[in-house]
Amino acid sequence: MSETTAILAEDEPILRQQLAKQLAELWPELAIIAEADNGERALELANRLRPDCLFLDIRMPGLSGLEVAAALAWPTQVVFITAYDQYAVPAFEHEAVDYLLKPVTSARLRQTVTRLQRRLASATPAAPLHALVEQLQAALPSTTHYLRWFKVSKGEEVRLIAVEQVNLLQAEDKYITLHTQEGAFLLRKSLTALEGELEPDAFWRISRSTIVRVAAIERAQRQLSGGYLLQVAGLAKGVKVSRAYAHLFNQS
Amino acid sequence: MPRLAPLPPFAALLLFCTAVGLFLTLLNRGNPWGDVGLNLGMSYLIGLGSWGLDCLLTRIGWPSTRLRIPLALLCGGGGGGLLGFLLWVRPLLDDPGQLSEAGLRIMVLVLFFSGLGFILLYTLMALAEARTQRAEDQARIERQQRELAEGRLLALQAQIEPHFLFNTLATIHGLIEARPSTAQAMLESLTDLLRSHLDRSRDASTTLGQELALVRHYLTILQLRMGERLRYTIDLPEGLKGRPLPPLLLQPLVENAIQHGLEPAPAGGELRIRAEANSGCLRIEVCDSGLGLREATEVKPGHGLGLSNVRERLVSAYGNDASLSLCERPEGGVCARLELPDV
Repeated sequence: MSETTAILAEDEPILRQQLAKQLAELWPELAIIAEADNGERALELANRLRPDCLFLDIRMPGLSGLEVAAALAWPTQVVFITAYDQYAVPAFEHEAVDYLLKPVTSARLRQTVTRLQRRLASATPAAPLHALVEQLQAALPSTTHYLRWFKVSKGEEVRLIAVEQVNLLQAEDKYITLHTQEGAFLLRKSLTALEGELEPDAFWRISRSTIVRVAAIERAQRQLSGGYLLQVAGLAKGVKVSRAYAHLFNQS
Repeated sequence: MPRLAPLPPFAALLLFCTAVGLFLTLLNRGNPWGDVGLNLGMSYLIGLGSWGLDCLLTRIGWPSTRLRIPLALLCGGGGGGLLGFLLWVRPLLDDPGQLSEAGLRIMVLVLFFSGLGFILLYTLMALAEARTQRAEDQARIERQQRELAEGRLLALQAQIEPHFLFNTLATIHGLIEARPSTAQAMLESLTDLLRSHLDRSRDASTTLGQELALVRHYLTILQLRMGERLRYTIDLPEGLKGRPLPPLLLQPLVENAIQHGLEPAPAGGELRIRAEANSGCLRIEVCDSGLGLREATEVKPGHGLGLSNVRERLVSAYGNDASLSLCERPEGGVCARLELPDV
């Protein structure tokens, strides 16, 4: 039988060396054929060298450990390593894939080594990872793909305005005025294009030319016309909600 | 004290009108105005007129209570009075002099009792409003206290980020045998960092020097962990060390630069912290040469950049005299700039 091979992927050099050292003590026959300090390199090495086992840190620059596992072209025994993922660990418990928590203790690593040796000896095929990775990515706190930052030019600079800073967005001609506690900023974009990029629960369209941040609304007053007049944080003047959008504020 | 259950408004109205009608009957006993049917009828008509108009105005969404009630009393009540006058009083009298005297008398009565009803209603409403106001105040105070406690906890959690803590412990664990003195130094830095975090979250104010000492502990640890990938400089003029600073303004900016700028960059990069004071303004910049913030930088809920927290702290410490701005650097990376009044 040819010797068992492994690749270690961990971005922190001290932790990588420590894992290599612990593995050398517990499993002298294991050949660590390569080490990677970021996700892209790990994927490239794993696909090229096709190791029997792959130790993957979850949080790495470039690609995350989960992304590397999902993109592997060659089935291999994967052991995930994580410092702290309160959501991911329960998901691991149910799967045929092993995981290690940092700091990795020798006792725990011994279990992993025994499990890997048993699987490799019985030629247990590596667990299919796509389903697990999908499940893990769903279990991890969901990442949003909504707009987080407005980039606006102010003189020479490109200012970054967090969406939470903006209380009101008002379209005027080809610009949108962003009203924040620190003043107004101009953004060159159409309101309709922007509306789709904002989180729908956090920002409401309230008229043809206005979007308001819901948390910035201080008071809504019903008007005789059937619309509403809003008091918005940081703005002295009331903001009108046209009748077409009044349903957002109607009770029940 | 037992509290009386409030009457439904319509029953209260009938009670009030009955009382007025009976009162007028008793007052005019022996003269033609003392007729019980006339007094009760007039009283009910006036009451129902005001009530009806009030209901109508409410239904069409009349916004102001302060205007609505007097209007309902005057127009609705006046209308009811006029109707009663035409129905019952006018057929009895045919002398114009008597008629105008009766009209005047009814008008005075309508005004008097509407006024009385109005005052009564207002007092009741004011009492009810005061009661809800008290309940709301109470709820707001409780909510604020809860938010304060939660905010402290969140701030504490945000400071000691679990990934940072466990990766650092793992590093110390790895160094203990191979490089015991480095492990020891790192453990000392971590201890100082944790201790000052815990102390500082209770402190009202600290100094720029102390705050940057904390940052230095954090960066010492990270540099050991990230190796070549992290380079940093801290540029703090000696004279600015003693400047007062609210705690935990600077640390979140440095952590952001690391977590979002440098740590995810495969090649790492440089962090530069600089403080300067001129013409009454203390300016602190935290700049990194990392990945920069993409417009849709993925932020995990509850793990935001903590910048809104920093802004809230700025407002509570300086009102509108301080600012935090973020800029993209033309050469890549992000610059966070704090501008505080220098006192």
